[in-house]
Amino acid sequence: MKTPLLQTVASILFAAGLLTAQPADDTQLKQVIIFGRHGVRTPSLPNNSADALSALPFPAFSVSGVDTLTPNGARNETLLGGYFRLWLTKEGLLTGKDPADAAFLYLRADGTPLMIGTAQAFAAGFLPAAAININSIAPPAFDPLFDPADAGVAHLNYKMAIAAVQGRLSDDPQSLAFAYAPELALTRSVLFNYPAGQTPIPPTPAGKLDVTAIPINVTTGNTTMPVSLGGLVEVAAAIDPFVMQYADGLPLSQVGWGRLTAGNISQIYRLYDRLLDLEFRTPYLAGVQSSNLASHIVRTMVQAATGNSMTGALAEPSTKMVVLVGTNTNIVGLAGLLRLDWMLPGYQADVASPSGALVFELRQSTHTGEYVVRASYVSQTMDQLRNQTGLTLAAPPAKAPVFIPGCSTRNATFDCALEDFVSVANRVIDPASVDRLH
Amino acid sequence: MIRFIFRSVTPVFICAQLLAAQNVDDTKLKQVIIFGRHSVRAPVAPNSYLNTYSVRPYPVFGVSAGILTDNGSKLSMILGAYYRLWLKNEGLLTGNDAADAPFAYFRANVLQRTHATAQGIAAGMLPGAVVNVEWQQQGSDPIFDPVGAGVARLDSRKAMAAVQGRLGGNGQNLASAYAPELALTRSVLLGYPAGQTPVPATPAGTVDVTSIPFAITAGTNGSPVNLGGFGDAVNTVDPFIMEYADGMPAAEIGWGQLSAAGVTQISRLYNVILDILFRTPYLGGVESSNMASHIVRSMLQAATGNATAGALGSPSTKEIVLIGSDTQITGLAGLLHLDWILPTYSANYCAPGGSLVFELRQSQSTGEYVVRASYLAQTLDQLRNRTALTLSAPPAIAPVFIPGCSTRNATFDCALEDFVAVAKRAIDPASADRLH
Repeated sequence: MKTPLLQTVASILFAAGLLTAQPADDTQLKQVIIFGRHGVRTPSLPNNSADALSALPFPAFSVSGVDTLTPNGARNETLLGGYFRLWLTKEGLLTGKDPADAAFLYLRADGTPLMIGTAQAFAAGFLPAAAININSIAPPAFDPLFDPADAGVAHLNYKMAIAAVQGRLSDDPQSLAFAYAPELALTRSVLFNYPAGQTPIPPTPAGKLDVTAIPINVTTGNTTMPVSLGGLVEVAAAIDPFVMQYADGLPLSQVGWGRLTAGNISQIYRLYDRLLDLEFRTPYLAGVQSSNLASHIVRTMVQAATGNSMTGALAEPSTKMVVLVGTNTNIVGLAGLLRLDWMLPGYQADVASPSGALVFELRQSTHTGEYVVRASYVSQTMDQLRNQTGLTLAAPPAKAPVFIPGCSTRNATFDCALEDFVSVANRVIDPASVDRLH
Repeated sequence: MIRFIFRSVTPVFICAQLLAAQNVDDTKLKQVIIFGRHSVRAPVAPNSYLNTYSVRPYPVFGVSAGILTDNGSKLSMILGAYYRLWLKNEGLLTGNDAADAPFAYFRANVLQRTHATAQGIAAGMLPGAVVNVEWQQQGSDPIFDPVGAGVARLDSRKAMAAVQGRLGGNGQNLASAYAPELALTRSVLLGYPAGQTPVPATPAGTVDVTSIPFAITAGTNGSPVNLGGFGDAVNTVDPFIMEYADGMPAAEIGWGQLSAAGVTQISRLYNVILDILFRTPYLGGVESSNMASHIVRSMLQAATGNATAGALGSPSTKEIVLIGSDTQITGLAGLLHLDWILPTYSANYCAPGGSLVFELRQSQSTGEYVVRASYLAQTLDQLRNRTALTLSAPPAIAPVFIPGCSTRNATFDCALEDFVAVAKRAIDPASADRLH
């Protein structure tokens, strides 16, 4: 670093109040787009497969099946829906008359039971007295918003995907293993049930597979994982249960077999985060996989601001609340496309946590009539999930206001003029990966 | 992740050779731009400052704070000698140094360590010639420090907003996200085993740097934003990689508490602050547009053969060597979305002496120009052991995919006109000039 970042301790607090000395907020919320991840679920890998990767058997959840919303996950999602109800009532978007408000809600979930169940649980907290229609596309068809490649809207060039990911790493596949050596060592110690840091490390138990020893290399993937990353995918599958064990409230003796604190889980998840970063934030991949979602979000806002029906927008010009439920892959991809970053207490940067949501607010100045966009990332903390903490305006979930690069101004709420948001989005959206039909 | 892909573990290797089955490379190197960091130096913060945070005094380098070490100078020559071998192999150098020297353009940022590194590279690359290194000894060089030079203007409130808007509005969020590295830092500075519980109290007379609040405030002294105690913590870990790379005895590297892997892990803190201060899009645009503009226009100048305003060297210049700091390399990489990982380092780490390399190549069959990017650096152990480098024992090299431009071939070729277009989309015209 050229200039040392030396500063005396005394001067640190100097400018802390700078951002607060700003004009009063005269904007009113006109529309909100809540783009959330499903709630706490069972692991993606069945225990009889996962047990080949661990010395001790993986604990059972209260429901069977993989990728299944747990009852606690549903309760947490309802709590989050209840929080959004409080917030949007205060913002004037909800009136308290649920059946009347329901007409202004558009709720859409990717077409699996996990997503639809999450959407139902959200609605139960958000508009408890109304019957809510959930828009979804039933398998085997694919939803072009969440899965544009499988839906035939976007074309994924697998050789390009390999090059784009390989060209962020190096020719040496073990580079990634070295860069994440502490996390891989922690993973191995948890899976094979010995203290972190023990030396020499014990051998792999008989009959078990050491996922941390599988080479990490870049090969052809599929529409769900656009490149295959060898051992990193296996590692992610093996660690995937831990955050869910913690968030679902399993006894601590069953969270990583008693070897993981919340802080350890956050650290171990760097491996999972890195996988998502490579698969979904790599610019080529974000362009293919997230342009259609970005296009629909932008056009939905323009539709609401102009009051005119638009192709490629969701719902109606009068729609006030758009709630979309997808996966962390969708959220990471959209964030990567728009270069959005966030950090919440207890999580690594840019983590799409269970139930966590990217929130886009379309607001209008009551003074000038101008529309602005504000972005934030909202999520229950790990402990709010684990404890099923009730959420209120005074005890909210964690919230990160997000600066939209190329658009946000320097005010306290990082306001981004709607027309600037449209142009920023249009610069990054790949038109060949978008339709205006859905 | 919804439909999680658990593939059985056997078929991992099937497609490993996909990228190899491609057209033969018919391109010839016409110009190379090497944008490197200075080599191994003494810590930037003086020991009198560092020692307030550690129970044991930091080891003494043979040179003052921020100055290139003797080994750093030798390492620069070793790297320069590698460039010589590579560029002779590519036909850009002839072996006749005096004849080749007029085609080389060397430029160093204002610091001693950048200038001395450039001189070391020149001595290894063209040992038989006297090479002029352009070096402004005072003030600010506009391609390395456009804000200091008045070419670009940094809105410090916007800088704070752009950083706050990546960190959830609270710098303290870094404390939980990087808890393992901060715990490791504390254990090394205060001299107890990593992982010891409960952690011992801070000894009297020592300040626990990891407990200073991470407040986001307006930048000073060339730093676009201050991150409070996080910046101090980064200062305290900065020496460790240099201790290792300079070849100090193992007992002196983090007072014997850090292996190479430990150095890499603790240096993540350093990488985080670089990412925040120089890869944040607003900051990358202000700080790195002038460098990007000069690099692109230098390539255009070479490809067209016409003297071009805002280009470096002359149309006949074949080698451009720019030596600055990790801040500048990080910034340019962020502006162009370039990523890499090299063995022994974290992702996007700017190693001592490490360089972003841009090759301007021309197809022999069609005449078309393409750009290839790579990141090249001596590994931690090549630095520590001052390993001689050859074409068969090279430094670590990561071919870099240029988003929005590279094709899917094995070398990630990017057509020159596409590179120009990608760069122009990223460059903030108000932060670039065409004078220097």
